[in-house]
Amino acid sequence: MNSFERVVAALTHKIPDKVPVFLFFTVHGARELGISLREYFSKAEYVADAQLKLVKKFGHDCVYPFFYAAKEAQAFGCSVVFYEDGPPNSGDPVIASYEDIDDLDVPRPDSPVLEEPLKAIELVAEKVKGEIPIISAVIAPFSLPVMLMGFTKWIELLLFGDKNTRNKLLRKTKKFCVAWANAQFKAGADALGYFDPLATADIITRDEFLRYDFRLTKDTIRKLKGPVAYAGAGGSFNSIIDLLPETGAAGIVVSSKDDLTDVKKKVGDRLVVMGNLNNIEMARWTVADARKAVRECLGKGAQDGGFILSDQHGEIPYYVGDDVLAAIVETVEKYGRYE
Amino acid sequence: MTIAVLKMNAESYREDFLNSLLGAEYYGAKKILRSALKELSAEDVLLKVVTPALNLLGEKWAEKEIALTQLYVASRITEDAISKLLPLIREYPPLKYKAVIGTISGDYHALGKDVVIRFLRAAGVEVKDLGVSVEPEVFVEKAVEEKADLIFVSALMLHTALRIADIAKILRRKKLSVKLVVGGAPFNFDKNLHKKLGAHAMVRNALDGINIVKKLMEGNG
Repeated sequence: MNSFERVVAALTHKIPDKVPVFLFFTVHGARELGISLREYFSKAEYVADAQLKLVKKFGHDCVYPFFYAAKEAQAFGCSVVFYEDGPPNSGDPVIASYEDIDDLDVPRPDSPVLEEPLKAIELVAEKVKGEIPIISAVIAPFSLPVMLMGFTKWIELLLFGDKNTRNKLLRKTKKFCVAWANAQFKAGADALGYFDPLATADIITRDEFLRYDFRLTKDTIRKLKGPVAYAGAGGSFNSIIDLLPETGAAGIVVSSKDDLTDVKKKVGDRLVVMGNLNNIEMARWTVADARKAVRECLGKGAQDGGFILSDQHGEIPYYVGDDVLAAIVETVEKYGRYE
Repeated sequence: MTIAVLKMNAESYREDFLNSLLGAEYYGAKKILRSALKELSAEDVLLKVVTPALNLLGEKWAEKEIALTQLYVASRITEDAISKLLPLIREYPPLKYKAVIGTISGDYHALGKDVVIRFLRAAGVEVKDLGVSVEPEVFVEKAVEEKADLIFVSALMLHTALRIADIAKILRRKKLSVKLVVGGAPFNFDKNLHKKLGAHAMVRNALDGINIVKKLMEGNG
């Protein structure tokens, strides 16, 4: 079974030869090539090259030519701040006041800012399509405003602001989300993480999810031309987990705060379960810590298939050592086989 | 008899107030406090309605039963309520400490910081907001300038959180007794991270900030 077949088996709730492992390398690519993050994300060739090198080095089951979440905000006109050791972040918001929402232009997927990310997907697709799943990501329409206007301003608008203004913004972010996701599928992505951290139980209540996000997400996912996994960037979906299969998502990325057995029991075979290694602690793990954490995840999540081992967030921090990453894959190789 | 009735009223207002906080009902909560003030003294509203409701809210947060939006709405209501109630109370002893607060350089996520500020101010802590993406040296400079007892630093991402270690180093180098308190997602995912960075304490949530101030400053002497 190659990686692609293994992951398809997990997604369709058939039993693969072993548990698939996703190592979501974003910033690690730069480390692998020995260049700065700013340089790394300046060219699709760097990202594609690093992804192919990393998958060869560690033998995990995906390539992840995703750039960074703030790229979407950048396409809308936000500035981006680069760091030496972490993912670029959105800087000055493009929406400074609520009036700006009226004039906010929805970027097209072929806009210059998004050219390199699409090209990176195409480049890896040329090499590994059909052999290794090509995974990328999109920010949910409900969560994208955080980057466009700042967290506080978006929460204010959501809870206390003008309903028409809020809906106008969500229509724009939804339009972009659908177009951007489908452009990535067209370029060669096999599946996307649908990042909706604002929907997690840490941030909003179940009632608020039902009021503001549920229908929006269902309608968005219905328009996408490929499968997505609902991702909370480390946040917990425990308050809405029963609703997630109804969104049309194919999978869920589980927080390290949640119990994989419990999640699997709740979603059954309606969602493939991914997770839930603690990527924050991972930065100071030893090889023994990594082995222990992987075995715990396998013990709780692997039974009866429908499971992919990954971190809880969709991002391996810059400082995680190669020995730890190798130990993750080796431990799955040793203990994650299905008979 | 009068006392029993008063107690029942305060309890029922507290329960209604808590429910409105949990429902993130900003206007409902304000209405309850307005009604409570017609029947109870400002001191009773503060000490028997608002404060215990906030404590219960904090417990629910610790049990992961509530969301950030509920805490955010609660912080707005509390700030509003306290600013109205305090002038009506002669002998309410607020905490008499000063703090500077900001997000660490490279981190532009202000929401957690903003909520902490409201709760600290509600508890009587004088807070100077340094804004977002503040350099480690600036935290220390401003703390000295403001004669602050505490520095609160928020970080949402691991790689920015790691820079907080520089603040601790500067404090040690300058032999300053200012207490360094940290908060934000990475600290909730790694309970030992704050110690590794040299902070004196971490806050798990905004309400926790008040308890940490008391604990650290009482320990201070």
